[in-house]
Amino acid sequence: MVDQIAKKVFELSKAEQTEIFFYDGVEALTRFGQNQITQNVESQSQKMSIRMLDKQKTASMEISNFSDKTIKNAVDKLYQILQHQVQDERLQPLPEDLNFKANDTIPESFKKLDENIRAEYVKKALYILNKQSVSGAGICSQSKYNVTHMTSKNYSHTFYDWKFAFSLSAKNEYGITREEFQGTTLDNFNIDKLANKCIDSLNFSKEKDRIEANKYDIIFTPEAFAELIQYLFYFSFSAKEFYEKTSFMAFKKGQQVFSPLLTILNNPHATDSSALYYDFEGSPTKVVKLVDKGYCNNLISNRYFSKLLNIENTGNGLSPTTFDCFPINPEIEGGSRSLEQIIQSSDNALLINRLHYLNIIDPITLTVTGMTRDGVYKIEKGKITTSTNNLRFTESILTALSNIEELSSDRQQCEWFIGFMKVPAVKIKQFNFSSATDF
Amino acid sequence: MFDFCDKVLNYAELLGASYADIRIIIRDIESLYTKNGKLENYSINNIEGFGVRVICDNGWGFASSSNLDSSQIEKTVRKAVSIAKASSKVRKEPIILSKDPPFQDRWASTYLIDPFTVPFDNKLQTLLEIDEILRNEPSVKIAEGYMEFRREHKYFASSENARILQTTIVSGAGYSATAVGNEDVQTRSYPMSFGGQYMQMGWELVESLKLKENAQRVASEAAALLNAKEPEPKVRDLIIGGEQLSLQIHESCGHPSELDRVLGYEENYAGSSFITVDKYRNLHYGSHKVNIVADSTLPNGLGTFGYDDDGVRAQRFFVVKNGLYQNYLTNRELAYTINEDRSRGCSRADNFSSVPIIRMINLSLLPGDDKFEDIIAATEDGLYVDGIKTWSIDQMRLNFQFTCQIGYLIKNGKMIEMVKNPTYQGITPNFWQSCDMIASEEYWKPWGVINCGKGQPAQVMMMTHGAAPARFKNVMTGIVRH
Repeated sequence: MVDQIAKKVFELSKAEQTEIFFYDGVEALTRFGQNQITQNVESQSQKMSIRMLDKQKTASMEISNFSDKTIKNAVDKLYQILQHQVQDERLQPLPEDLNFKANDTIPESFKKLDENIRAEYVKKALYILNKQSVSGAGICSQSKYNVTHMTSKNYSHTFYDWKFAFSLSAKNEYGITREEFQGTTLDNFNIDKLANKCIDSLNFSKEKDRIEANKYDIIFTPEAFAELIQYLFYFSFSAKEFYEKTSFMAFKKGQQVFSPLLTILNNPHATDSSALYYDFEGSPTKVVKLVDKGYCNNLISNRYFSKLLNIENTGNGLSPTTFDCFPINPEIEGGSRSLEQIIQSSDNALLINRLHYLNIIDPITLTVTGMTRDGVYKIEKGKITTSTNNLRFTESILTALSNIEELSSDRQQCEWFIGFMKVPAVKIKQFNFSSATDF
Repeated sequence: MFDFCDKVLNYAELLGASYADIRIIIRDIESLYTKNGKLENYSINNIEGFGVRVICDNGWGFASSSNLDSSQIEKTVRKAVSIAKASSKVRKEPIILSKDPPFQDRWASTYLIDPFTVPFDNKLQTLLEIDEILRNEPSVKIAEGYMEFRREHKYFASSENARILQTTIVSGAGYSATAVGNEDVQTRSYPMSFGGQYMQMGWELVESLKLKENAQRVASEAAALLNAKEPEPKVRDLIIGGEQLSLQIHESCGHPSELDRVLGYEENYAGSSFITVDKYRNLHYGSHKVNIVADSTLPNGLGTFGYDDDGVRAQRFFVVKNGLYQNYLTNRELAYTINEDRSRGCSRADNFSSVPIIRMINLSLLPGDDKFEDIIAATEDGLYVDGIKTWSIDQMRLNFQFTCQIGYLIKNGKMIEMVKNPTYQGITPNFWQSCDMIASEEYWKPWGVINCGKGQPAQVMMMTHGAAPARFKNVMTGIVRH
């Protein structure tokens, strides 16, 4: 169908060059709270953006109706709009001569998923929790989409993404905790294990110690670390931010900024789902070592900024109309010991299960604020002893990552805006907490 | 379109739905984004589709399609019913909808000049002229301008015989100047952060905003912030300008008042609320000066409509009256849980593909009696802050910390020094109880919010918060570093 629609668009278009992005996706999500399903949805959507490029002018339009009449009206209107645009010397020709489809071998376990199986998972999780007088809330979701990028210059690239997630919050009179599974296959998904892990965590909440805001040595679970480090990826490694001097990389590129324990890759080919071999400008995507043993040597770039800065194009152009670039499937290398072993070797630290509502105060120092949630536990002499109240942190990510003491060998896939992040647990010394709550 | 709706509702009934509704949305969006003298992005979106919501065997189901062809009806309704039946397998409480009457009506927002009839060249020229003024300031390295116009036709029909067509026009415009230097980045925006001011108005909104007139001041402030200090952390009196106060209302009053949060339906994601049911109408939320009103009839508000997405008529009610907590934001599904037989009309979805959930409508702090100048003059040791920069609040909506774009230290009734990254933190009820002065109606303005996220799958909603500057006593200000 996409081929036929694209053919129509290209035949009708009077512009020198034309491209389409065709999105076809299904997203389904079962939501539960207070021990029952409260919301259950599925949305199917198809939409197409058409972009024309002519005499260094460009304009784009998005439509969701693909009748002959609508397509003709859209193409005619877009061409009219194009005539009123201003010339922009930064615009580059559309990609040409490629026919590439990424891997779309969706696992059987994922293919079988539907609303009935999602409801069964929810029922089972709640049964395990309710037996222990624990109430549950959460989601069970599945999504699948593909994006086809075609140009009037014989270029065609299809990218596939599918994801499953189960998130479970468990609450009783002592406290609340949360566990999650995210992945592209259900082969390693074990609902009993997830629910029982919640119950085990709640057992640590029977005893609660009050702590005040201060600096503490902390251990972030992979999920908590992922929530913190996403701000590094959003604000730091793009060639655009480097050029505009709005990132620490503008002042410290090539220097050792972080602990020598930290190595980070941008790995677009990392996962079976959402592996991206060509970016949305048609450039091949590359694996880039963003941080090498604490040294920040490399940027990610797109066609425009690679030319402007005379650096390699790493294929991170994700939007053809905003000149911006982002990491894809970032991976943080793990250490040699498991999270459990790191806990066992810690004399005095806090284990933090999740973070909440982070926001950036200063993009250069990457100072962020946010809250802990769903479990803060005291570790004393290698053992989790009690839970504590929640804390607000206000800390520079640059400082935190230079204070890394250890990274875990076990890593987790955590959702990232395209694909996943692969993240270990981390132990950081002297992390700054700026205020405390009563709960 | 209502023929299409009838087919959907009839088919849902045939498949056993005890309740069904459908929303068809046809939406056009035109947006311009300029940056450093260039048109960075221009796009037009013409999106349409329908979403069907059913109750079947005491379970909810929702399915949607972006294809308005009648061939999609059977597939989409079947899916919604199948989902409802799956939901019913894990349902303990009965679904009891409030007894709000169904309406057959048309409603449209008001405007003077249809923004879609204004030539593209006029829009671009306005933004590029501002861009030039902003970049006349040497340390402003990034000048950005925004305009967006939306037109939406929404058809709503239910198995209870509601038939409602609503047409809305929204316009928005604004800009920001980012100064870069001294290994620092400072931004000032006008009229608001994150894309500017948005209202249910036409092109006349853009003409009324005095965009060009303020550009030089905004650029100069961004540049001056590069040389400003951060305020030292200490307890002071805090005066919050209207824009920032709109965010304070949104985060610390709006979200904790959503009944679905209160009941634990958002526990796993956005969190819950400190205004638990036992505190309902039994909580000193703020000082007696604090009056907060929810109002989906507010002229030109982004949360203004004739009917919500349950088909419930728009209304105005107190959330906080003389400091006492009064009312939650509710929908037809949950009103009964607090023994109310009518919804307060806060059911909203951001698109045809999203299920309606409880969302804020327009929520405003009513003005007080004080002149802004008198509030400053009455402050011995204080900090004035405005311009939204960063916000964060815990999952119960108690512990918050906000950083603004600009601040001024106040000594003995005078603003004496500009400060950067002015930050304040507090605990919600303590904070609102410390409110002792609110500026009068002449300082009160509506502030449009276009980026309110909630729900899973994520939905982004628009609403307006009216506010005038107000003073809060003894607030912890500055960034606390141990």
